[in-house]
Amino acid sequence: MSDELSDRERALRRLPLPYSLALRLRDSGVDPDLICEYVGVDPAALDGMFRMAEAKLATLDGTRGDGTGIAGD
Amino acid sequence: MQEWPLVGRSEELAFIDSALRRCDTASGIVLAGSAGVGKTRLAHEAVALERRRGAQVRWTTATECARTVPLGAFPDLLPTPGDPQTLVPRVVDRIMDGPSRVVVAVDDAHLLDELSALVVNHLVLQRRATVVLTVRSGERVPDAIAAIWKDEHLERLDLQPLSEQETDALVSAALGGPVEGAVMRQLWRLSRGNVLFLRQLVAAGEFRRDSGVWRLPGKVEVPPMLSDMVDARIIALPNDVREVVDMLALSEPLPVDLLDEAVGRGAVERAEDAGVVSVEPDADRYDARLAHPLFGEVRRAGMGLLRARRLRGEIAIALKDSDSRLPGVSSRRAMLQLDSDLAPDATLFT
Repeated sequence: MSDELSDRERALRRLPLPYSLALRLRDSGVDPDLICEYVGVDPAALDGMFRMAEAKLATLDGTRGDGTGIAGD
Repeated sequence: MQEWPLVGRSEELAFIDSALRRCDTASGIVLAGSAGVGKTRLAHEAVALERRRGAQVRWTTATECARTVPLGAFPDLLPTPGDPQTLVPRVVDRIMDGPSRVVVAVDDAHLLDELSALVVNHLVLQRRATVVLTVRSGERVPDAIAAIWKDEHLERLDLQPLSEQETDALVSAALGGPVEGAVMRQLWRLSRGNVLFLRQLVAAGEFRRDSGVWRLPGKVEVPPMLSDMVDARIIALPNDVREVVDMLALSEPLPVDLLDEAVGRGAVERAEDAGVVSVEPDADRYDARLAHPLFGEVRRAGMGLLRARRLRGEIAIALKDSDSRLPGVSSRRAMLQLDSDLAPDATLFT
C-alpha cells in the first residue's frame, strides 16, 4: 500500500462513521440509493454528504486546516 | 449554561456559506439531523453571518403547539381579511416589507402548520428571501417544506455527530484545557458526538483541574435532566416500539426477524423510522441496535427489576431458536438466563 493510500485510510478512520461509510461505499461502486439506506440520509442530501465528507477528509489529511475543524467564536 | 465554542463544524459552515450566497438558484439551506446534533446552533451561525452582511433576519421556531393554528409560525403577520387565494402572497409581501435583504430562518420546520409551510415554500420558490430551515431527521415534514429540497430548490445538509477527535477538541475548548483520557473516553461512549448530550454530561460532572488536566473524581454520570429528556422521547413512542428499545437495551445487537417475532411484525421498522434503532445488514440477516448508547443507559436505569427479568427471559428463549445464525449465542443466552425469570440452564456453560 502506498503512503498516499495509507494517509487516506488513516484520515477515513478518523472521520465520523457516516462520512467514512458513505465514501467507502461510493468508492466500491455501491448504488446511491443503497448508500442512502445504509447511511440513513435523504437521497437529496447524498451529494452534499459526499462533499462534506471529502472536505472533512481533506482537513484530516492535512491538505487543509488543523484537523480539529475549530471554528470558534 | 454558557455557550460553547463552535468546534468541528468548519466544513459545515463553509458549505452553508456557499449555499447562502448562491445566485443561480434560490439561496438558503436546509439543515437536517437528529435531536441534539447541533442544527439550531449552525442555523444561528448562518443567520449571524447574514446579519453581518446587512440582511434583516426574521427567526421563528415552529412548535407542536403553534402547529394547530394556521400561520402559527408567523402570528404577527396575520393579514387583514380578504381573498383567501391571495393570503399567502400577502403574508410574503409583509415579510419582505423593508429596504434590506431578508433572511427567514425557521427552527424545527417539520413542526410548521400547512399555511406557514406554504409561506416558506413561496419565499423559496419565488426567490424572495434567503431561507434557513432546520428539520429533525425521521420526522414527518409538511409537503410544502419537503418539496423545497426534493425539487432541489435548496440544498439539504444532513448533519452528523462529531467524530471522537472533534468531541475531544470541543470539550477541551469548552473547559479551557485538556481532559483526562479515561474521562474523555466515557464522554465519547455516552455522547457519540451528540453535542447536546455532551454538554449535559459535562455540565453535570464535578471537573477539577489537576496539573493542567481536567479530571473527574468518579465516573461520568448521566444527569437527571438528560435522563428525563431521553426517557421522555422513548416514553412517547408506541408500546411495541418501546418494547424493541427495551429488549435492545438489555441485549444488542438482535436480529430484526427475532424482534419482529417477539414484539410484532413491523415494530423494528417503526423504531428505525422513529430514529431510536439503527439496522445494519450482516451476511444473511439484518441486525438491530439502539441508535444511541444513552437510550440503553437510560432505559436500563429506569427499568423495573421484574420487567428486566421477564424481557431477558424472552430474549433468551428467542435466541434459542436462532442458534445457528448468531455467533456466541450460547454464552449470551447463559448470561441472560442467569438474570431472568427462567430457570438457569447449566448446559449453556459447558
